[in-house]
Amino acid sequence: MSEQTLDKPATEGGTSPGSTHGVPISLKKLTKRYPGTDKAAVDAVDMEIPAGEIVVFVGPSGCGKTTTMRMINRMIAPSDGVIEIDGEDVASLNDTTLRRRIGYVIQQIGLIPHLTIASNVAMVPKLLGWDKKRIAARVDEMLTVVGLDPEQYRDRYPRQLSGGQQQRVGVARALAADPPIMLMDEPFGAVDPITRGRLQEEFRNLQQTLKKTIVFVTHDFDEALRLGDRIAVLREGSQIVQYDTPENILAAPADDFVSGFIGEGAALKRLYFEPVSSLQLEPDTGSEADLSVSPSDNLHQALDLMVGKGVSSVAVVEAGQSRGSISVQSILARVGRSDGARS
Amino acid sequence: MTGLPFGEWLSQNQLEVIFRTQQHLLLAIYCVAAAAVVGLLIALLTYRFVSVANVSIAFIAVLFTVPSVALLGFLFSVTRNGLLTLIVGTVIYALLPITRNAVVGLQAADPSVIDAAKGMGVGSFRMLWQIRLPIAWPVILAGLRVSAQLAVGIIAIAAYVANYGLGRLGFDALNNLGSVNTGNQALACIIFVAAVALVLDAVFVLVRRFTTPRGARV
Repeated sequence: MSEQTLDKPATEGGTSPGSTHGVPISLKKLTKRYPGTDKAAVDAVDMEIPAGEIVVFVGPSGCGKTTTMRMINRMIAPSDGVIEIDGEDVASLNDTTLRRRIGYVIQQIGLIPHLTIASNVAMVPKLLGWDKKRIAARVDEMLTVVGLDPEQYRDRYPRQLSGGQQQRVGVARALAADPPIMLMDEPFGAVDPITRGRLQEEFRNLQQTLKKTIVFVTHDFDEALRLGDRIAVLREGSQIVQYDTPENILAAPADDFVSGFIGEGAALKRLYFEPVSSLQLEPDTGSEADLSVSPSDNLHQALDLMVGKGVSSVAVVEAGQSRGSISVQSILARVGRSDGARS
Repeated sequence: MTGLPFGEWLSQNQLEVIFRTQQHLLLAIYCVAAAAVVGLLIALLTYRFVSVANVSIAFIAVLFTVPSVALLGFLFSVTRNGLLTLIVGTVIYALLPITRNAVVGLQAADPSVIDAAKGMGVGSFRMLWQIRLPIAWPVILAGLRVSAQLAVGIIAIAAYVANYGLGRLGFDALNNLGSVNTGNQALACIIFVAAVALVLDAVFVLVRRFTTPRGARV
């Protein structure tokens, strides 16, 4: 099955994808202990998750990142500690009320096989008792938002869709009732790398308008870099080793555990977060006339272009106007800086 | 000495044959309905606890292995009533396919489907009614279908203790071995029992066609 409808950015088409922005979540001494084990799976975790940001929990398997996430919508009951959503202790809410206010996306997607795509997306609005017209309109809106043509997909069944398309429906379903919070457990882990890259990019664009508070679990650090506003690097017992922006984690990993997780090429990865405009531009020499980058491109793109074309500098062009040029030398000088002062 | 040709024998006895065919069909429907109620109830109560479900299925399976003539004889000695023996005996045999399939069907939902639904705030009643049961339905229906076939056969044997249904024609044939119409009676028993079974089967094919959601068709 082709994914040709998915090329355009998901937010095109003038739809207004929801109006409820994120709310902060705070975890206080959150603990999960399973009977018969000495060590807590999640050991007194304290964390503030700011409103409207994507916070990525990243860590090795078995570190308790998924358990921590699943305690937020009480799919796993905490043994101890408090979870506050927008300042409210969620222990006061019953399970279903709480869950209907939180979008939930899992790696295996879990679309209901005997229901159409439309009915799957309509799940939570129906539970909340929306009227039929509003549900139908919302379903079409959500399918459009995730890049699926409602006319074409609304009456299909999950098994008639590819893995990537199914996960789009999974995201649409989680967003349908416009929850302020989304929990996502390796949502793009089961699709092929090309589709994954595309879904990640679209999801990032989508979040720019949605501004939901998103807790995103992955074991893939590159995915964390691509999507996270903040990354929490976790180790056994869900202990937070470092909790910071991707730039700061790359620039100053807290310890060897974090460095190990970042993997090879931390310096190069940092270039993803530095725009061309952050460098002092040099006068445009005009030598390599048809190669140019824009000030909003990142340094990784610029370096990639120069290395690929075998040139030592490119022009920086904004809205057709030359702004100067940057050279391999200036980027190397930036990589060489190790103070990590930039944020 | 030869008996009547089958066609003639049949037209002479058509009232009885028609009556017994109807009786057989109705008894099969009642017994399967009763077995469905009991079997689904057992399945609904036990599917969540794998070991409990396994024990109850094993128990029904043991009953299933008792030879039908022995079970009917035993039941008659308890109930002293032919019709009751027929119904209880048939229900016991029809129980196994229904219960087993219902348990398997209810457990069959993909755990990720259940997890996702639960995570969206689907409560336990809705989970059963709107998610587990529809997913299990084709499997439950297959169990009912097998049970119906079994019931038709057991009712024929139960005619030994109760003068109901087409089985009596078969036993008459056995009792009159060597007489001129033995073959006709046996043939009528065979043909009409098969007809009842086929009619029931056709009903299940139609029910499945019209009640299985398109997405759940395998």
